[in-house]
This record gives sequence, C-alpha cells and structure tokens, in this order.
Amino acid sequence: MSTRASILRRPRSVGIVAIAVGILALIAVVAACGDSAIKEDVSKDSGTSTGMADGASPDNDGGMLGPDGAIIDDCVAKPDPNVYTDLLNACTTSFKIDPHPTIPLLYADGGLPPLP
Amino acid sequence: MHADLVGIKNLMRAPLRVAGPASALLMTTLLARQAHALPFCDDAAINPPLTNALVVQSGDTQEPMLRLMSQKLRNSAAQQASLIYTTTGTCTIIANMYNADPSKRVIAASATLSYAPSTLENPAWDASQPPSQCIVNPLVWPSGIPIDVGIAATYTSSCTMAPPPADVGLFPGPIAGYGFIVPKASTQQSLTAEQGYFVFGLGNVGQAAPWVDEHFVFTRLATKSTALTLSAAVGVQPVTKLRGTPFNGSTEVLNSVAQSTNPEKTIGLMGTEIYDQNRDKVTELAFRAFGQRYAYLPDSSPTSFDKKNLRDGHYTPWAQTIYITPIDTGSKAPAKPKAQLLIDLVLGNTTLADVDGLGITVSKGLVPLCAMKVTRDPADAAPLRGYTSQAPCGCFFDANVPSGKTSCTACTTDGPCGTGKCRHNYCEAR
Repeated sequence: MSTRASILRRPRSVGIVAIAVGILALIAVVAACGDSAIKEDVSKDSGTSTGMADGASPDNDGGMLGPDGAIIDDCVAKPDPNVYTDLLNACTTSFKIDPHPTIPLLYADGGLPPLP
Repeated sequence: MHADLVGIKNLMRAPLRVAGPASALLMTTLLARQAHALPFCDDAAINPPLTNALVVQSGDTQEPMLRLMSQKLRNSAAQQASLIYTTTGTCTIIANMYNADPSKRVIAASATLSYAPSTLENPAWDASQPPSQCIVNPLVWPSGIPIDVGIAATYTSSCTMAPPPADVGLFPGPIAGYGFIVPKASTQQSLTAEQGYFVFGLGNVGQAAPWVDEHFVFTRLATKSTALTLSAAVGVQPVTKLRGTPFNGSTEVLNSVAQSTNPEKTIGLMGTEIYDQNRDKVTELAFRAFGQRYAYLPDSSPTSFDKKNLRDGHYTPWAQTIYITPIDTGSKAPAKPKAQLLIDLVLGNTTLADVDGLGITVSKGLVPLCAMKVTRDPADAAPLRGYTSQAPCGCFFDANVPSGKTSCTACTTDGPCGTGKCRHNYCEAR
C-alpha cells in the first residue's frame, strides 16, 4: 500500500534525459518484448511515459523507478519483467481501468485497519 | 425400461436375507431413488455402463471442463472411459483424499453423481446442458464409492499444510481464474484490492460505496476455492472473516447476483470458468491488486477469452488446480491408469484420436501451465514471478479459446519453425 501511496503522491516533471531514456525503453520493448511464439504479435507500449520525477532513475531494464523503487509512470517498460511489481505494471495493450474509489476508512498512508 | 422399474428390479435381485438395519437401508434407498427418479450408477440400462467409470470429486468451477471431458471420453472410440463426478468444496475434497484410511476416501452411498449422456443415450446433448445423474447404489457400495481423482480448485496450502498420505499423489493441473461479478444493470467496472478488503472484510461498516450492504454481497462457503482465492486477493484472512451471504454453489451466487433487486449495491464471487459460460447474465469487474497502477480483466478485453492478463501477470486472482489421486508408492504414478489418462489429457501430455484434452481444457476457460508467462509459489495470493515453459503452448491456447486467433505459423513438423519447435500444430519458440 505504501508503494501505491507513493505512486500517487510523487510529482512529475519532464526532462530531456527522461525523454531519451523513455525512447530507449520503447525501443527495447519493441525489440525484445514478445511472446514465446514465433511471429506472435509484439506487445505495443500503450502507456509508456517519458516523464521522470525528481530523483527518479531508469531501472536497469528501462522501467521508471523512483529513489525508493516505486513506480512513477503509467507502466514498466521492461522487455522481460520478472519481479512482481514489474509484472503487475508492465506496459500492455490490454483494456484497463484507472479506478479512483472513495474509501473513507483507508488510512492516509494507504494502510488498512485490522479486521474485527 | 423405465429407470425406476430397472432400479426396483435391481433391488429385487438383492439378497433377500437382508434384515433389520439393512432392510431399512433398502427401503430408504428405494424411496429416495423413486423420489428422484434417478438410476443407480451401476444400472444396466446406462449405455455404455458406468461400472468401471473414473470417479471424480471436484470443485464446481471445474464442472464445465468435466462435462465436456466426460462426454468426449464416453463417446471415444479410441479409448472409451466413462467419468462420473460430483462437486464439493476444495477443502472437503482435500480432507477426503488426505484421509489416512483409504477406505474412507469415498463419496457416500446414496449420493448423486453426474455424467455426460453418451451419444447412444442422447445424441442431442451438449456440455451446455445439465448432465445426467445417477445414485451410488448402497447395496453395491455400502461404505461409499471410492474417489479415484479429487480436483482441488486451488492450492492445498489454503486448506492444510499437512502433506498427503504416502499413497496419495498431487499432480498440478491447469490454472483457474477467479473474479468479482456484478449484475448487468450495475454501473461498476472495477474493484481495487483495497475496496475489496473493506467490502468483504468489514461489510456494512466498511463504507466502500456502493457495496455497503451485506445483504447484497454474495460469497461462498469457507471450504470453497472461490472464497479461498478471492479472499486472499483482497487481504481478508483467514477466509472465515469474509462478510456477506455465503453460498454452497456457484450457481446460487450467479442467480443471486443476476436477479438482485439492487444491482448497484450487489457484488459476488465467481470462478472465471463459470463466468465465461454466463457472460450474458453478469459482468466481471476489472481488478487492481495491491501495488498495481491499473485494474485489469483476466482477458485482454471485455469480449475476449484469451486470458492474456491472467497469463502475463496483470490479473492476479488465480490458482493452480491440483489433481489428487492414489498412487503406486514405488513409481509415484497414479495407481489407476484412467486417472493418469485424465491428468495427461487435461495437461495436453497425450491426445486421443477423438479426444483433444488440451483443447477441452482451453475451451472451458482453464489455462494450462504451458500457456502461462508467470507463476507463483503454491499459495493463494503469493507474489508472481516470470515463467517460461520448456514446452510452450501459447499459440495453441490463443487459437483454441472461444473466438480465438493466432498469428503463429501452423505446422505438423519442426520444418517451418526455424529455430523453434512445432507443438500442438503451431510453431513455438522452443
């Protein structure tokens, strides 16, 4: 939950370095992000952002991570994601929804109260 | 001959020396049978007979696959093998199959089992229709009919951490998806894990609008895989803390959600295989896991059946089915060849000339491991990690789901596959 909260709180700014890194990440996805199948459609990056937050850096495969490791862009553009949060947030062409539910009892830091 | 008459005739053949409690059992059975108008499972009028059928006890999310598999096997000229089954909770199945006493791994006498009618019996039947049913004859199986295969529809660790008895084996089966459903009239499209925690963990006081009334929250009993997997997905642990109205069967949840008098406040739990058969009645919500940016359906779109998001890690509420069966303690292989056949068919390890087991699995909403790109440790809601099958079948999967298509190269040999390999008639990378 703290990761989720940090995603929502983190400000964004756009820099030329970020744009370059984003383009490189996109190229990496197109080149390497594919199915195991021969000639299967290569996934297109539907949500890769070129924005980079202050103090953020590309991870070693091109995904955008903040200094605390949080995801700061719409999706992780690694060609072959393996870590859980990367898999959850990998760029995809699939139908997706951006929910903004109102949950009054959710703690400000995204934490959950104990169950009765 | 009318089934009742056949049954009465069978009963009359029973030894006449039965008396006392046995007589009472006889009369009770006769009355129960007449009330249901069902044949005994050993009834000679059932054609082909079920006397040597494989007996399966399974979670009800697996029934769409079992119905079709049962039909194909009964009608197979290559290897006729009848399959009769009953459905119950995954934890009940595990408890039955883990019993240290093999004679206790049974379905009770007089219980009702299901099977697909053969073409001889009903040439018009298809797997979308209710199956035929028969009763476990208490005169033939007074202590119950032995279970050959128990199909747990989620990880055994959700029910027990104990290992199975030495003469029982666990065989990983295909992946089963689970989801949250709402009525067609609801405007809701997604559920976040946080919302789910408040809806299903706190109920009326959770304040997670619009699902704030437990009367319209329809769940499953705590022994059911659907409850186990989905409660874990929203962090409501243990499963006994689920709030709402718990039902025994998927059909009851389906009907309660579909016919709700307050659609906006209504939500329910359902196996994806059941949902796929009932998309015209209810809507599945996209789900956003803890730590995830967006919410996703199991499939790449509301109208597709490709399970793309379940297969690549964007959709997390899923579990691996586990086939539990008595084994040869030496070879560790299933003791019954027909149990081995069922497992091999479901996994695509073997194909009969007229039974495409992998095709049946795929067409009924299950995902074989060979089509997965992620896996997890054997526990509900365990984190995902990347996975690469040594014998992938993603192309076959994409081509054989309902309305499926693939751009993979068709093949019958490795020839057209370059450095890849021809598997299930499509070129795969390895």
